[in-house]
Amino acid sequence: VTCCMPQSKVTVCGAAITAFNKRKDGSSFRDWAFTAFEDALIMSSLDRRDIDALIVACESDFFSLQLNPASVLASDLGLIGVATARVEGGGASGQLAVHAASRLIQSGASKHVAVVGVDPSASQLSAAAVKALYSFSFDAWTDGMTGVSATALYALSFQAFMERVAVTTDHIDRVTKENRSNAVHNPRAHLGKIHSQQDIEESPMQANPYRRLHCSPLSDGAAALILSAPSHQPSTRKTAPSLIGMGAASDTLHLGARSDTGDFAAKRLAMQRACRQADLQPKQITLAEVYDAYAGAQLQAIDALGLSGDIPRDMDTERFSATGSCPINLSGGLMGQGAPVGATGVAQTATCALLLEGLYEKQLQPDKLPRYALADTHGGICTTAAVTLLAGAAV
Amino acid sequence: LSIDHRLTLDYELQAGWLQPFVNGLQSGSAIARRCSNCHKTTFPPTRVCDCEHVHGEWIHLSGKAHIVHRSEGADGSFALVQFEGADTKTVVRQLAMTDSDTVGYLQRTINLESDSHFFADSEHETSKPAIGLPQLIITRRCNGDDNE
Repeated sequence: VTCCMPQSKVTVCGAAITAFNKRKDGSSFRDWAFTAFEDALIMSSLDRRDIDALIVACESDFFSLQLNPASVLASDLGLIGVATARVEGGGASGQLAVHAASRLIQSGASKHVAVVGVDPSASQLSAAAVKALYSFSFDAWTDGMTGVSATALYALSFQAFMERVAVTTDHIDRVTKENRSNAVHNPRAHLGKIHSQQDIEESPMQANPYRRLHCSPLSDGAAALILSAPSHQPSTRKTAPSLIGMGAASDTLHLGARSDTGDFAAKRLAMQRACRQADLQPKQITLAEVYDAYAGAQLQAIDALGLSGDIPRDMDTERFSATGSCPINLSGGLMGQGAPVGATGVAQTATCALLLEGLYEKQLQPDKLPRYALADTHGGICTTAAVTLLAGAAV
Repeated sequence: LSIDHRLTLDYELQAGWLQPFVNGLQSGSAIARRCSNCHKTTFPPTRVCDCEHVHGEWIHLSGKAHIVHRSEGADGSFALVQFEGADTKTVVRQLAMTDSDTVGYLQRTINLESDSHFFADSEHETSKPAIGLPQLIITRRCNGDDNE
């Protein structure tokens, strides 16, 4: 596959994330989007009139009960006149929105683009209703109507992964503990918890091998980025990191149609494309926010992204823990920070950008600034994958 | 602080090119797509084959499925299976299956009223098939006989 993306970088001038939780304060998704955008704009040192385009990531009109949300947010955010579009790719929506915004800049069509990801996944519908809607994230005519839950599909995929890679349920317990304990230090996180082994073993079995604590929660929240052409980077933002590689790919819709039902092949392909654009190797990545909708999905992501050749060994040496050589999901990931779908990928990229600039939460900020970071999301059962690579300003 | 609102939507769904597959599920027949070029047989059907050929024929499988992986819990009982005669695997819901069953048979689309016995063992499940719509469900029953 030939990569046709231009090599130019895109500067992350502003990055902001609201709290991810189940809102009970009467605020709406429009308020969260406003807050995230305002914070990102302030960080960027830019004004509203500098913004050329607004790209909105929002997974489902069923969640928000708002069609054409980009036009609504353009008005709410005081961006009348800018080009607007909404990007949707299931769980990958946020990361795909980052890619769409970057291409506007790389093509020369825009100098500064705002990306806003938002979804009311928790407070506006019952969990049962959201779960029923999620069934239609896969093939509505097969999985959706049969009522297959996302958890069951992921469980079946992870069982196949366990056959190929020497990981066990002990490893998903460890991912669960690490992500939730990272989230304890993230004030925006939905589920900062210190889990005991007993907590996990006593949580209800949702779909073998996944217990409830192995699953990410449904959350409300928003995240925003202000992306700029390096040639128009504000003078006050010289330390801003850059997006240096983007890759996206897709896989067969039906899990059973894949030659290896445990392999996230689309993620592997997306990572290869992102690395090619960035001229990087996976081994150069020393910080990652990966898509952990389920604890096992994090291990499948590590494998597909090429971040480890021996996952059990790297987990034994705590390579991916908060103090390891390649910390994964310092934010807590979807499992700890939470999962307002449209906001997820935008928040991952924002988290990586803040960490690369040394502006993240003190207790989670690595002692030494990482050089490169990776943000990874997918939709469906990794049917749509999107990967973004970032570099610190010193690179 | 919140405003309650209920939205009811009545769809008239069209199966399009999937019509033979959907008709099969509703009557309990596994109807697969076989590529007219490489003869790969897909169930559920694939419109464009891996060999990039777009033409194929609809064929009847026996409906017998071999279980590859199964997952059970509060979400229900599901399995990744391989239907005999198909080159691809399929995710299905399991009904009235036991842990020792290694094969199951495609069940016609469930009718909530007349087939309520199928749900007798699954009342604890939090997800249910969409009644009346095409469903991929296997059971151990086959024409009144238990499977081997």
